[in-house]
Amino acid sequence: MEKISPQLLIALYTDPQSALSLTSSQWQSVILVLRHHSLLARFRIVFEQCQILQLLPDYVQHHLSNSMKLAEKQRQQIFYEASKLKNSILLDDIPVVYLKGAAYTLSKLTAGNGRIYSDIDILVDKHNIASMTQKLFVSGWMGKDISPYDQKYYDNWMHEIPPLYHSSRGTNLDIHHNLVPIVSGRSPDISVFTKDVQTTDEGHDYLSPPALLLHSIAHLFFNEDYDNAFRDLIDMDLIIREKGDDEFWQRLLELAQQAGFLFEVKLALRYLTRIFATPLPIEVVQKLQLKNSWRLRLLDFTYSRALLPNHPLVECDFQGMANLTAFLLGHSRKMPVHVLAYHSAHKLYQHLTKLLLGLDPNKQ
Amino acid sequence: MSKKFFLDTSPFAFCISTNSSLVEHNLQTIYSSLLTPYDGQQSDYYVQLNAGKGLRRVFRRQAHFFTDQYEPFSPLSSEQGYALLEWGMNYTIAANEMQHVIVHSAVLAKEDKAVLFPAPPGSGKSTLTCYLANNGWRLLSDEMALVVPNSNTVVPYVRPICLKNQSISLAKNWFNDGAFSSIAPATHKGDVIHLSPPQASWDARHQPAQIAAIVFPQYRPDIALDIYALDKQQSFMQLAENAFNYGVVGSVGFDTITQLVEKSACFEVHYNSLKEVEAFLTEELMA
Repeated sequence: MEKISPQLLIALYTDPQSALSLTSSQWQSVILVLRHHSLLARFRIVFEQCQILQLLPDYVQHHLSNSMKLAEKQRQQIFYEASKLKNSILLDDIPVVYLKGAAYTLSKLTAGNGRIYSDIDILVDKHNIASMTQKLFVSGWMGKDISPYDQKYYDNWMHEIPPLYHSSRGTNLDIHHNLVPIVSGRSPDISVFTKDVQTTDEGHDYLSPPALLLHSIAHLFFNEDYDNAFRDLIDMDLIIREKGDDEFWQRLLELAQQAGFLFEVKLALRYLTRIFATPLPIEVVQKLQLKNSWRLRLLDFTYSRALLPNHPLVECDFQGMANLTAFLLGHSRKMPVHVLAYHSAHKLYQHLTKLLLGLDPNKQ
Repeated sequence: MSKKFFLDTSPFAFCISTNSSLVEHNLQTIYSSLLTPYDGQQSDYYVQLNAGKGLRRVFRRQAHFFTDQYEPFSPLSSEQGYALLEWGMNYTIAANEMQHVIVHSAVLAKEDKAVLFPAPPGSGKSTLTCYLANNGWRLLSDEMALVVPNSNTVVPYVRPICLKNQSISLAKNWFNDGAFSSIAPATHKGDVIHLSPPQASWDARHQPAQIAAIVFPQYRPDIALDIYALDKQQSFMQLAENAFNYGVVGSVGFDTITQLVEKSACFEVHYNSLKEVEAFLTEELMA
């Protein structure tokens, strides 16, 4: 299969007309990479908006429209789940705030169109989680079997509880009580965010667009997994293009300052403008300049690669090394070094037991 | 060393990469001339069936299935690799293809009149399929009926028949010159073998058929043949339960299945005599 460059994929998004000059062999690779990143439906919308969808080969249209049907189904599912959730927790009057993809869809942001999800993310006050999960168990939600180690990992260190899934519908639900792991020492005062919510026509609360963007940015840099980074970056670009007025930027900067994520915002905007030429107001650009340093050069090396599509068919020099650095940086933001060392040692022991003995140590 | 093959299972084409010579051998047995070396041919899906890495190459050898970069199932033993690949290909189609209403069902036809046999595992569906395909019927599919939305048209998806446990020796007795894969021992379905359909079914793999009847088979050791006419509501529920992507294709799926049930004769058959089932189908439904 033919390798393709990251620039080719970026151009399909920023300059969709370039799709008309792709060869059939390039399309095969493009379809695989976009499917891998859950971006087929998103790109179908891009091509449709530029009125070139009908001009693309049948093969391409076929796969784009398969994915559009899946995305459409998921959109309906999110609205359905949100109304179910409202019913199952209504009596307790527990405030629920939708995050990430579910928030984009429920609030009808452009970033929600053609979005494919693996789970629904919500933010709930930590004190309400126990009574809320009780309610959810009665409505058919269940927890997955997890090891005592993983349970402790969630309880002591994480910003969320182990994911729940619905026993008949199979939907996954991630309940968060903060935006970044508690163990990072950088989880913000969450009331800053819970005060910044808006409500949809259907009565679902979601983080306001600046807060959604800030969460997406924090998530990107406090994570060790960059598989979805390119998709997340496109979400960010869409939010900025749709909502980025003066008030938006002012609120984003205030929030970033209060939550202590200003550096991450600077980084995200740096790579957004470099990769997609995302439009930013000149004052924002001036305010958020990063100082040139060896550290910045290391970050540039890392993120200018790790944030690109991550697939064996995408040709990107040193991406493996950059992914490793991004993994380490993400993990070190997430956990202090001594916790990280303990955690890694435990995971390594488990992996070796599995590898050498074919046994799962959690199932002994 | 892994090798790449192009496999045109119309209407979908795969690029298959494998480093297992057992899997390669089975692919050649089942698909013969449809399997060619991959040389950039347009493929809808990329799948891999690989022996494990590191220590697992020599110790408790495993087979991993990947649809592109994603591994949907836990690995199986290397002798089960080919069955895993077939199931993985089915998974890939069911998870991605939304332009047909896909029903978990065998489809057999005489000329262009087709019968759907939707059934859960254990109902003897594949044994029946195997018998019919080798007794004057054309196999359109053993596992997946691809129904064109809002129509009675079913598009063939010719792939091997998956036989389990006792059916294996039965089929081998019936067709000792049949193209059988190697046995995948002790899977979650028991011992499993794949059998290539007769050449006539392969040759007609581009010819759609019209669904005339829906028959829900139930193997019963003590009953030669009992036939129950089903009402439309029962048939609808049973058919919808067997539709893979019914929920995803939404109202199109609902309309298509409603229309199918309305326009088709619907029966449940309890049987232990394949011959009598065949006679019933030919005389009553194909006349």
